[in-house]
This record gives sequence, structure tokens and C-alpha cells, in this order.
Amino acid sequence: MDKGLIEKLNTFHVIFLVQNVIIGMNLLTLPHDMSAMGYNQWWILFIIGVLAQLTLIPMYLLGIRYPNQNLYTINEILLGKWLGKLSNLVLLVYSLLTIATVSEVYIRLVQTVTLPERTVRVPLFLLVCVALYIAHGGIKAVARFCILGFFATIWLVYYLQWGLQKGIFVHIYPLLNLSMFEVLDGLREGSPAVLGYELMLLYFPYIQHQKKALRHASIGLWISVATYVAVSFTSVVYFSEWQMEHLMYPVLNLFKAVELSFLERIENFGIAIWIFLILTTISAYLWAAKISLDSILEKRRAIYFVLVGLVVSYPWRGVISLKLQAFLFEHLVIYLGYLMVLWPNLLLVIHWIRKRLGGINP
Amino acid sequence: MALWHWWRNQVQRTSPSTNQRDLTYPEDKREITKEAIQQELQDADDVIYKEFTLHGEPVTMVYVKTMVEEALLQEHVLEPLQAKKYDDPRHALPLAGELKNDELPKLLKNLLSGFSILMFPDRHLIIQINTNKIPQRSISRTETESTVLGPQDGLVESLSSNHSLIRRRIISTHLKIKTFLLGTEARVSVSILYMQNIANSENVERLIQRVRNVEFAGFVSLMELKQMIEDKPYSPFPQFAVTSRPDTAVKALLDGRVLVMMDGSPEAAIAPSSFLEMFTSPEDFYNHWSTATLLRFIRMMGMFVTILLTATYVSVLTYHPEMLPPALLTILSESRSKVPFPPLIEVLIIELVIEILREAGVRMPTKIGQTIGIVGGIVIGTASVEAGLASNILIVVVSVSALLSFLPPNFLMSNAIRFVRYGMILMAGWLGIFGQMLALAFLFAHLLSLTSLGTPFLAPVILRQWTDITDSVIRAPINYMLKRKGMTRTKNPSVRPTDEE
Repeated sequence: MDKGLIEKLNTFHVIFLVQNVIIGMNLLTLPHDMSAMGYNQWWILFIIGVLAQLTLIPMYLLGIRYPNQNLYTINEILLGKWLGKLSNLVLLVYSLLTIATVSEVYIRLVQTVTLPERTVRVPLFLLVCVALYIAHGGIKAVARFCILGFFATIWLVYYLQWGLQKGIFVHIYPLLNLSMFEVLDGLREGSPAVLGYELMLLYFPYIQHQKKALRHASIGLWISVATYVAVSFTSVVYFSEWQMEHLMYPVLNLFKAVELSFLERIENFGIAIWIFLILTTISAYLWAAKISLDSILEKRRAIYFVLVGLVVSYPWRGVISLKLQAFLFEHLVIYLGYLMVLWPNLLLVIHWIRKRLGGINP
Repeated sequence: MALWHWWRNQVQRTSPSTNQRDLTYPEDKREITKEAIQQELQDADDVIYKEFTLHGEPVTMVYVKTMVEEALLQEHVLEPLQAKKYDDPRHALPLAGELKNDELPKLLKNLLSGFSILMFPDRHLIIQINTNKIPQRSISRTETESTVLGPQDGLVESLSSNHSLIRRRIISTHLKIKTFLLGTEARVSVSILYMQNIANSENVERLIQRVRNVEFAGFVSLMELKQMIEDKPYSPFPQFAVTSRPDTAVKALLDGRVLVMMDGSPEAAIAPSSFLEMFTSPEDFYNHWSTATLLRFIRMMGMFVTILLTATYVSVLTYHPEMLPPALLTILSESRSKVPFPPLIEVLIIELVIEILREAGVRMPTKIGQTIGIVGGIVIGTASVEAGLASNILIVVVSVSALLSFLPPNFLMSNAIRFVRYGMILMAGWLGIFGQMLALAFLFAHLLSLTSLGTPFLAPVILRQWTDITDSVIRAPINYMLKRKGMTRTKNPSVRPTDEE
């Protein structure tokens, strides 16, 4: 694979990189996460999509002003060396926490559904190994795997038809029986699902058609939102409000609704093939964590991949208390994600101020 | 770490050096005398030195008895020289070439490959004439890539015959053949063929660079050289296609690929190649497009089924029996009721039996080979089911996947697929369907990271350009094929002249 700072991501790479990194673990739990919204959740996803689209614009504006810099180097240019390095460290922690969360939750699910008599260590280790192998090829390898991952999993949408057939369509009417506060709460619960496009600023210097990057990233974003809406819509039709509130993984139960003559309990298969979506997410964040280490330590070494991999595949549960884990994986990672999405706004303001003062030459 | 450094050092030590020198004749130039030749060719008893006089002038003739037909020498060299008096012997032998006085390495190389050397000491003239006559196989049909329709001739071990098989199909000034001498001891001829107006010059240069940088004592087959010039030599998958059919070779040339051929090897390596091309046969183009598309679908699906079928048997029976519908579960549990092994061991036994049968059958003469097939297929299969060593459903599953693994027309790809299958089976036995999908994801990630001469190996699966779809899993009607493959990065992408308006 091509390495080094050359423009290597074409249109399709960008679209599917954005699209597939967004879709990961959250899709499995989305109808449950947003169950407070009841039957209204499916159209709230459109609002989330619009919000994500709005935050994508400052990223693009920042990227187009620094066509040869990634977020880490932009940080150091705009905030100064030490403040920049500190914020890079925060981003490194965010990447690591995301990988740890996604892999941990996925492996727990695999253990629950398909391997009830096994510990999680070996599957987790192997999952991280494969993700490291992909990330080691560079962002282009990740992008190519994203394209493959999309086509390997998109046909699962076909299985939604059983859920739609057996469901009750009156659930879908947007009754608007929500207060403003409840809608905001729904946005807070649902928004983590679309996190993933914030990595665009890290691979922005590698994009071939940077001027069109916003359009391509938006296409990727809206494919993801469309997938979310499709799943959420089917859940709303198929489940009752009580079910959505109490089922941990509603998509698993949607799989259970599928009736094929030659195969039963297809959720086993569904969870296993979900690995393509998980691998794209993990490997993209692994790559992000690796180049963050590169920029913090100011050396480009392949060994950092091993370092990152060791950190994320370390059996967390033995060392950290459950309370801290819940804080790290369920709250901190999400707030850091919001920070990272809004970060380019801050940088743009600083860029504007420093440009006014005349002290910057990107 | 120490082991890694040792390995890196070994690789770097054996990697080709970059210093520029005359690669064809790396030895020092020396003056040609009879004594110098005798000194170099000491103890080579098949070298003949003849001293005689022609029209009163002393002449020394040197040739290697085993590489030259003496009747030819008499008829085409000595008789014209003796026939009438000449001013210059080169007039009597218009095909002969002159050697400069200091070209001893060239003389020795040509002498050993079948030239006869005539030295005229009085004139200070040394001439060489090709009297090469070595035994070679006649052109016959290829065993490994046979087809029902289309041309039946196959490449042979002689490089010049192979060149002529290609030249007679492409009568064009643009067909270029560059020949190099490779191997520090064996000095075997390796040639690179390409269409100058079609092939991407970067590809040609890159391949020439790789071939020239190989340092090795000698090759006996192109397959060895191919492994040394491929992009990722540690991968189980072949990254250059190999063919023994001249029509496939010509098709590749006309698409802008570069061919590598070697003297003594009845194959041509095609670079760059793609993963899908390992599953295509030239017969796809001799058949109608509908049949060809069907066959290509079967071959591609066959690859997935063969790597996943037995692995799925293992994972479903070991970890997820609830996935089977009741009717199938009943049949399976009945047929497995006497089997004392877990599914993984059962599958490995039967898969290995098939592998052993194949390997035993390959080395045997055809008649014994058939016997082995019958013994293996009928006797061992039936007996193992009756003895309760394996379930009869497994026999069906394993036989189907064994048959499917022979579908790819490319032999190396078929071997690689069988290798991958064992990894799948082991992962399925270890971690069930999750392990299977993990292995599949790893396989795809590996295939995605492979390149063939710098071009992505999976290129037509992820399209380089939209027209590639006409010759992918779908073989479109021939009228629709207007563009060359995007993978070849040709400067001349249209197959047909498009300037007629």
C-alpha cells in the first residue's frame, strides 16, 4: 500500500471511509438507546443527521485552509507546541477509549450470543490483531476495507422485510407527543451513533479531491443516517414501546424475526458478519491513535501500532473498577467525541483571530 | 527481536545490490586466443578444437560437440568455405558474426550455447556462426489449461519457439521482446514481452528493473523467478498470473500487460494480474457470453463455498446447532450418531484423506492414478462411513468442496485456496462462526493489501473504471468491450479505433 504523505484517497474511499466508520456498534443498540423517544425516534434521526451535517462544514473549512496538515499538526500550529500536544493527547485518549468501547461491547455480545462458554480474551485479542493488520496498511487500506465492509453487510438490510411484514404500521405516525426537553434528551442519546466522521480531519491531507471532500463526506454521512433510519423505522414498526425499552439489542430480535427455510437463528450469523463493520471502525481509530502517537513523540514508528493494540486489548475488567469503567466507556468517550466534533470551530476561531493579528502562514 | 534483526539482515544481504555494471557479461574482457579458450574450458571434454587449412590459410575451429549438429556444421559452414576461393570468409558466410578481439566472455557464452567459432590468425579475424541444434519437445497441447474450443497449441521449453508462437499471432512492429541473461552461473535467457504502444511504460520499466536486480545462481523454472519478482513473496496467493497457452499470453499482451518468459520453462508470467483473472479461462471468450458469465459465476461462488463449506459444518455442529432447521438437524444427528470424534477432528481426517489421495494420484502414472481415485473415493469413503469414522453428510460436503477447489483455471490459485481452507476450518473449530468471519475478514484484508506490479490485486472487484465490469464476473458480449482494463493503466485505452466519425 502507498505510504507517506501523498494524495491517495479517491472519491469512493472518502465516501465509504466516512460511512463505514460511523456505523459500528451503535446500530445494534440504537432503538434501545433512543427508547425514551418511543415511536418518534425514527424521525429524530434526521435531526441528528442535520446536526452532524452542520458540524461537518467547519471541519471542511478548516481542512481546506490547511490542505497538507492533519488535525494534530493543525493543533500544534494554532495552539502552540505544548498546548497542541496536550490536545493531541486528549484526542489519543479519545481514540483509545473508542476502540476499547467498541471492541469490548462487541466481544461481550459475541460471547453472549455465539460463544457462551468462552472467555472474552482470545476473541478480543484476535479481533484487535486483525484490526492492527488492516490499520498497518495505512489509511488507504482502511478505506479499501471500508468499501468491502459496506458491500459485505449492506444486504443485511434485506432482512428487515420480515420485521416490516410482522409489524404494525400505525406506530410510525409522528405524533409529536414530546416536549422540547424530551427531544433534546433523545438527541443526546442518539448522537453518539453518528460519531466517526470527525476522523475526516485526520485523513484530509490524503484526499485527492479536497475541494469536493465536503460533498463526498456528506454522501457517506447520509448513507449512514439512511441505514439508521431504516433500522429504527423497522424497530418502531415491529416492537412495542415496552420492548424497545427493555431489549438490550433490538437488532438481534429483528434478526430473530427472519424466517428462512434452510437456516434458523440467523442472528448468530448476523452478529458474526457484523465484524466487518466493527473492524472498519476499530482500524480507523487505531490508525488515528497511531498517527497521534507519531505526532506526540515526533517519530514515525510501526511499533506504535503494537503499543496501541496492547493498550486497547488489555483486559480492562481486571484492573479498573466497574464504576470507573462505566464512566470511561459510557460517558467520557461520548463527551470527548462531542468535543472532537466541535473542536474545529474553536480552531477556526483561533485561525481567524491569528490571521487578523497577522501571525500565521498556513 | 534478535531473531527479527537476524532476519532483516539476511534479507538485506541477499537483496540485490544497486551498483551499475554490465549485467549481461559481468566478467572482465580479455583477449581471445586459442590458449585462453582452452584455459577457460579446461576439463570440458565435449569442446572440440580443429586445426586445418583453407585455401592455404591456417584456421582454428572451436565448437561444443553436444550443442552442435556436426552435419549442419559440415553443410552450412565448411562446404561454403571450401567451395571456392574468397577474399574474405565473411563473404562466404553471410550469416556469420564478427567478434572483437577482446570479447572473450561473449565468445565463451555463445560457444557454450551452440555457436561455432572460426579463428583466422593471419587475418586477425574471429567469426561466430550459429550451428545450435539441441533436442527439444515439439509443440503439443497443454495439459493444465486444456480447452474444448480455440487454439490447442501450448508453450514449450524453448524460448525461441515460444517467441515464434507469439510473433505469429501479433504481426506488429510494436511487439517488443527484450532478453536478459539471468543467473550468475546458469546464464539462462529471460525475456520480457510487451506492446510498446499499449503497455504502460512504467510497468515495463518496473518489471525490467525487478528482473535485472535478481541475483541467483540459476533458475530451472520461471516459477522460481516469479516468486522472486512478485510484490509480496510471503503471501500464499500468486500475484502474477501464469499461463502455458499462447492465446492467453497474446490476449494479455493486447490488453497492455507485460509478459515474462524464460528459456526452459513452458510458461509465461503475466503482470500485472488481478484476483479475478485467476478465475477466468480463455474459453470464456470462445463461448458465448451467456455461458461464459454462468461459468464465471460458478467459479467465483465455488471459491467462497469451498473455503466456507466445511468450516461452516464444523462451526455449526460444534457451537451453533440451533441454526439448523429441524429436518436438517435430524438427518445430521442421525448420520453423526456413531461418530466418536468432535466435528473438527472428523473434518480434518476426511479433508486430509482427500489431500493425500490427490497428492498420491499426482505422482502416479495415469492408470495407477485412476485406481487410487477409485480406492479413495469409493472404498475409503464408504468404509469410513460404515465404520462410523465419519458421517456420510460430511463425505458429501468434503467431496463437493474438494471438487470446487479445482475449479479455478489457475493451478497456483487453486492450491492457495486449499491452504486457506484449512485456516478457516481451524478457526471455525476454535471460535465458531465468529472465528470463521474473523478469518474471512483477515483473508479479505490481506487480499486488499496485495498488489500486482503496484496495481491493486483486487482491482476489478473494486472497479478501477466502470468499463472493467464488462470483463469481470460478468463477461459481457464482445461488442461491449470497448476499453482495455483500468488495471493496466494503458495510455491507449480504446480497443477499437475511435477516430472514425
